[in-house]
Amino acid sequence: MALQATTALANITLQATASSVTFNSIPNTYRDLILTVTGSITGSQGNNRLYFNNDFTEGNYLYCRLLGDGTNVGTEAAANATVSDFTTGRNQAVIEIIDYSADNKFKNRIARGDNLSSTVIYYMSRWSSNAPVTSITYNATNGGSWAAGTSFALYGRIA
Amino acid sequence: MIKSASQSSLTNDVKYRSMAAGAVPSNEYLIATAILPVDQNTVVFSNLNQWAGIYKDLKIVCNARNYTNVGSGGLNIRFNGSSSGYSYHLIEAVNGGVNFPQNSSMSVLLGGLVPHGATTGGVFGPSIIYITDAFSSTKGKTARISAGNLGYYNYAWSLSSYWNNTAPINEILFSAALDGNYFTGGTRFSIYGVTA
Repeated sequence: MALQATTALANITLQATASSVTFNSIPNTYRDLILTVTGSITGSQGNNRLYFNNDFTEGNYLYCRLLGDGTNVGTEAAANATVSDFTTGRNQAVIEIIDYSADNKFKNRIARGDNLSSTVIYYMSRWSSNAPVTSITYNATNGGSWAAGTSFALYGRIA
Repeated sequence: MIKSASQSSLTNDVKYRSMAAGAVPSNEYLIATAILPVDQNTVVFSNLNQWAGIYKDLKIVCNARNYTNVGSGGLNIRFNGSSSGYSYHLIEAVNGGVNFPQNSSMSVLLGGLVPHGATTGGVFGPSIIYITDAFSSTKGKTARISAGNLGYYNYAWSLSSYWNNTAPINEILFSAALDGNYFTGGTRFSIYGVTA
């Protein structure tokens, strides 16, 4: 049989609120990363931002978003690192980082998420750098924090 | 393994009561990968029916770029050499607007959107393509696709493509040539088998 594609690398379940979560020293032995998140935000909501390699310059990121909220369909594009819009309710997101270990491509992020009571959201996003990703910082942003009990799991996928 | 993961109250190397978030399948297996060392106009994966008794679905991860400076092209796919029976429905976000195009008579399966060679260097167009019941001999082949690219324009695609043919998939061809293009070096196609 062929090789199993994904390997669990690390996971965090918050015991207290936190403004950000970081995964460091990511090995370069996989081709893609998959980050899954289940939980919620305390305080101000939305605009959760995913940064790579301690690059917090918003202009180095870009996204195009598609969402439906049961009444409307919407779109937005902007130059920042947003990949999800968690609320104070129940939320989940799966973020796939394609070719994270490549040194000749910008890093595409495909993020599919939803607030389980109201909104489904799809983000096409990128980090405009050819550098391999070695660390990930996921900020709740907008003045809010990740709530206690929010879980983050990181997987590597071979190619 | 990752050496550290942190937030404000975590200590490294200490086990926490934790539960993996989300659902990342452990039933996906790598079948084949092509990462182009140079520009070329087609990529073919053959003899896929050898996996028919093992896997139920196929998942394809692509990250592609065109070489020539024509407009962004579709990621064109053909199964088993067939040039008929394809269709798609799409929800598309592009530059502040939303579109809902469809086409019921295509000569290729639309698999994504590939940025052209004049786009900023480093920009590739990703696609995640999930084909259910790929080896069925009684069902048409449906692909659920997340794709897009952020280049000359900014696109986010939620796409459903269909091949109206009950033949098991034995060959998958990815082509840029149908638009007069070449895939640039670095373009990548990976195929995974998914067990039931």
